[in-house]
Amino acid sequence: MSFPYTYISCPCTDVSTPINGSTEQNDDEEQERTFDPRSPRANFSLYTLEHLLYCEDCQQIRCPRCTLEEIVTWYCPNCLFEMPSSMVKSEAGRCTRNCFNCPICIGPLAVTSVHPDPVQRSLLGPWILSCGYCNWTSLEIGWQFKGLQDMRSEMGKLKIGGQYKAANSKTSASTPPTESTPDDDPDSVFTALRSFYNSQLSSSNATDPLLTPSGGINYSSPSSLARIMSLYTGRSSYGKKDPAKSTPMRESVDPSEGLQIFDPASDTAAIEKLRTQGWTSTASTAQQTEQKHPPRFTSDLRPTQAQLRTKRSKRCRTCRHILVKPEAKVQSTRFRIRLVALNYIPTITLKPLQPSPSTQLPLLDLNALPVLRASQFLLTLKNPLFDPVKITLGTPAHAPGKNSHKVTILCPQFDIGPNADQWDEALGDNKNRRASKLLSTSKVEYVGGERGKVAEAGKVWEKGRNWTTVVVEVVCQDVGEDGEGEDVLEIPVFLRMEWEGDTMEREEGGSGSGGGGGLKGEERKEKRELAFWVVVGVGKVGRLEGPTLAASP
Amino acid sequence: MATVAGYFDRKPSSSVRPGIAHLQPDPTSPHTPQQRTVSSAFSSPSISYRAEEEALIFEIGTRHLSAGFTGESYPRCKLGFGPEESGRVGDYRRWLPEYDERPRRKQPVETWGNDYELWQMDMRGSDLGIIEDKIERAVREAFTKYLLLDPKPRRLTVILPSIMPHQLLSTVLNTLFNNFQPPNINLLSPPILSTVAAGCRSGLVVDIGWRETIITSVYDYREVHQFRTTRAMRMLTLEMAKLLERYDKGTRKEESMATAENPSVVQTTEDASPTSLNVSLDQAEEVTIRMAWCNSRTNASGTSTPENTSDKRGLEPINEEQPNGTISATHSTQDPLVSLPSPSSPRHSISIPFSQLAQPVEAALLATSKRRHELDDHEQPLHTLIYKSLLSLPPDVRSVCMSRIIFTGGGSNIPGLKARLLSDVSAMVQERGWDVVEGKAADERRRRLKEISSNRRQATSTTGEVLKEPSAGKLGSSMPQDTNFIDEKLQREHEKESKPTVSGIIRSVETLGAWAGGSLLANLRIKGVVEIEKDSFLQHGLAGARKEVETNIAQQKGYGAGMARGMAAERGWTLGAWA
Ligand SMILES: [Zn+2]
Ligand SMILES: [Zn+2]
Ligand SMILES: [Zn+2]
Ligand SMILES: [Zn+2]
Repeated sequence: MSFPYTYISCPCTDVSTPINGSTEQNDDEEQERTFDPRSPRANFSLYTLEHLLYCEDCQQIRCPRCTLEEIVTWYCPNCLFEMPSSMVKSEAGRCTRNCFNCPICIGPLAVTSVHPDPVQRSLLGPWILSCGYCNWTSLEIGWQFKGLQDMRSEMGKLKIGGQYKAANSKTSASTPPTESTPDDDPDSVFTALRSFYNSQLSSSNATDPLLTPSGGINYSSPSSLARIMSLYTGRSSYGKKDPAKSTPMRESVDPSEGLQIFDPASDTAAIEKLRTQGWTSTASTAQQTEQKHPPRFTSDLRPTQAQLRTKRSKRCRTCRHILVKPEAKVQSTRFRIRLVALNYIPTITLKPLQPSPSTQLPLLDLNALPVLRASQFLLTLKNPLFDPVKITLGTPAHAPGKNSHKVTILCPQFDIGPNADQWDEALGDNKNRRASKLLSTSKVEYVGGERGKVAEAGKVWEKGRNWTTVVVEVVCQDVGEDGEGEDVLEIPVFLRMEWEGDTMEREEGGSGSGGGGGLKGEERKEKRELAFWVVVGVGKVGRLEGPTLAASP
Repeated sequence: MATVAGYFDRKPSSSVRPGIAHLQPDPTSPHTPQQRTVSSAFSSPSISYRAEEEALIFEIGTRHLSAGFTGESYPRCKLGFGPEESGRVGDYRRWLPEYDERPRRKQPVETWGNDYELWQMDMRGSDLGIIEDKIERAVREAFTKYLLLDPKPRRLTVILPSIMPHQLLSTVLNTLFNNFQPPNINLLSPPILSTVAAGCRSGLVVDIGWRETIITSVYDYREVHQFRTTRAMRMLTLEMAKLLERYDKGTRKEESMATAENPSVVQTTEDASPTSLNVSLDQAEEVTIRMAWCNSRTNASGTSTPENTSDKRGLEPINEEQPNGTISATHSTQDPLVSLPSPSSPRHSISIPFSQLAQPVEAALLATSKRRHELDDHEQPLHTLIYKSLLSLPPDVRSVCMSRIIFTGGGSNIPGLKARLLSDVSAMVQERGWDVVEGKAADERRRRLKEISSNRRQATSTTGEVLKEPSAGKLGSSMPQDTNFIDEKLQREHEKESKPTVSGIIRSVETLGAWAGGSLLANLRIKGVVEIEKDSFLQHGLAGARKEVETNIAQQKGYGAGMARGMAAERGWTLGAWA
């Protein structure tokens, strides 16, 4: 994302800090606080406008943190198969059809036949999986599938290299302890351990299952040997049963019970492979995280089943009203309810106000803002509401950070017209129509451009039907040679909007409980207010070139 | 430490006779079958399966949250707390191609990579709010993307390091209770779980974590003793970063020198301990995870330790001999250059001799270049600390633990490290025995003990003990041991009831890790002793939890929680290990 940009801080997490401690008592408490966009916490409360919702009942912005989600549908992003909720957990949240992802590039894998006769390939196997992006195929790990019906379970039995796992090796004690190979998968060890513990618990005496007797030993000083010894005495003096009869659960003693003795041979082999095959033979951490049990080498990566996604509805955390409700059908992208903040709070955009050509100053470059010289920007707020809005902007005189760039909003208080729709406009009076000139964000504007206009303190720069533009003046300080992040100019702006809204007595969803005291069915105007922090990313501060620019306004 | 007795006791009403109530099924779960007798509940696990199915296991560490379902062998997701995960919602810059080449700020070594951590145990100057922010975001992501669950309240087992400041613990619990509304949270501590997931009752758990390596001796599911050292993955990754930076600079210098037609290129090792680094943590970590390895003892110490072959027969584990021997033969002749992406510019690559990629492990974890007395208590190399841990145990506990050394944590994945530590420890045992005292008299005593123990060993093998020894880790003779009447009696008891146990040799057992251990336990419906109810916690905070547990713990034991925090702990530490 390049400059300029805007983020909004959801008020549910207050990360603003008092400007000068909290000694001053002021009516306008918020004005005395500031928001530091560079603080690590700020990131967790900042959202682009599109990610925010609005609760009409609470009359407040809602972010993912202050909403509750409910899953409406589970589906596979590959085949759009809708999975019944009862199956989701048992299938580990993966698609049960032949939807697999490439272990190398996570692209979707295609199923292709490798039947020797090309004519038969559309019908007969064996089948392999292949990636259209990176050309990986399951042949690289020796995998071919006999049928298309149940590739998933066939995959579960396959080892890297193409052999099948020994059936039931985990449970039958008769199987000789096989040497641990890199392929020995942790799942079967886990299963073996679990059945071992289960059998121990069911067979052992109830007084002393997994855990020891321990009685009432005071064990508060564990480091002392005496304490440890007292464990033994404790055994006889505190044990409720005759110690001879109690059968403590034993430890597992062989691989069939999940015991695995460390064998350095596999490490040695791994080191040798690292030595001979180097970096490219190893799986990246990104590839590893896609796997159930992360392997070291790319040659041990397995295709993964497609992870299911969900459609979710969202509720306000405070009042539990529904804010978003998607259509349940997977194919539909529509929503039944969707209260996005875009429709309630102004969009904020910024663009440079270029210096008048007569001054011969270079054009403003957002990636190298001039240092120690005033630059001007046009800040435009566009009102989505059908009511006119009164705006108050507040900003700290110096942007937070050790560089403290100087920031001034030339006109911090102004009105924005209502977002009357085309109908109103067509029927409305001429005056209203003339004012509704189009807002253009792409047009380059100059100081003194049209009609010789210059920015003045206390005056709006320009106004349209439902938008207003004011000028922000910035003087950047020299930031020196700091690297990443330090040279970015971000301005925190506290935005307060006030308007007269219609009180709605809503029938659905448990009626507008909140502040609306209006009579049923009757429309009344009600004073409303909303305030939040906005972070405007202006640009990067340039390097101080030469001494000549030292003269600042 | 902790835990100790009754670690797994269930909470309610078991105060008087903890031994009996231990393992009752959780009464709060709605599907619990009628019969409350322990054995029946366990012999028919399927009956109560559905109730448990929904329970979740979270493991929260310095770098990651691992989340998943009870009874599964691996977590559904492992999410980081780093800068990538801590960005603004809607900021898509990192998906742009030029993101990899963005200018990176040089980071001072002391704080290098701190932004990748959820918390610092040193709470000075830290903002607890950010911890809340990070956990809340990670857990929410786990729910919506990986667990695919509705936010309806579920029982939660949380695996947390037992030594953490109260404020921190309180913040973690608060975040979980407030945002995700679990009816209760069951706390478990990692070393016990690693032991469970190894199939053992006892063992020496060596958790090579991020900030610290924590070595815990566990005996009969009790944490008996704990040692810690800062030689862990952060230090290793930092060493790797220094290595990369050196070669990166070297490569660039090389290029510029080549253009200046100066063919004699010397690898610059100029700055062995720089104060700040350009290489970022994610870059260094990628290389560490993929390429870091550890030399075998014979290779590493080739010159420094005298090869005393006659003695070695007896004590050196076999794992030193076969496969590593081949390596050492080829090693000197064959040390290929490994080509890695350059940290300063991903389109270029740098070449590092393969042998160099073993150096960070030597420097960070084994402190090979340092002498023992140069090191503070908190920076002991791993093998020394393993030896010390064993030394601190009473002989019988020691001989059980030394045969169940359980490596876990990120560092346990470094190829060669486990074998190296085992042989280093064996060498220390060979050199010093188990005597704190050194000298001639000690030597003589050692010799005698050796005889005794070998006799004893014979005796045990006649009782039918089958030592299923792996090719690895077998010692020619067992460790010297003090004999003790009670021990022996106990030992006999053990042998009567259980299959034979391996002891007295240095051996390592693999574990599936703490998360899997938690999953196993929760699946078996065994709870930790610390279970915190939502309502009580939200009302009283940690103080409430303390009261709640007090009634039953106070009588059982005082759980000395963290040893490192010393005895101050004794009173009022009723949050179990976390108190
Ligand atoms: Zn919010
Ligand atoms: Zn699918
Ligand atoms: Zn691919
Ligand atoms: Zn609401």
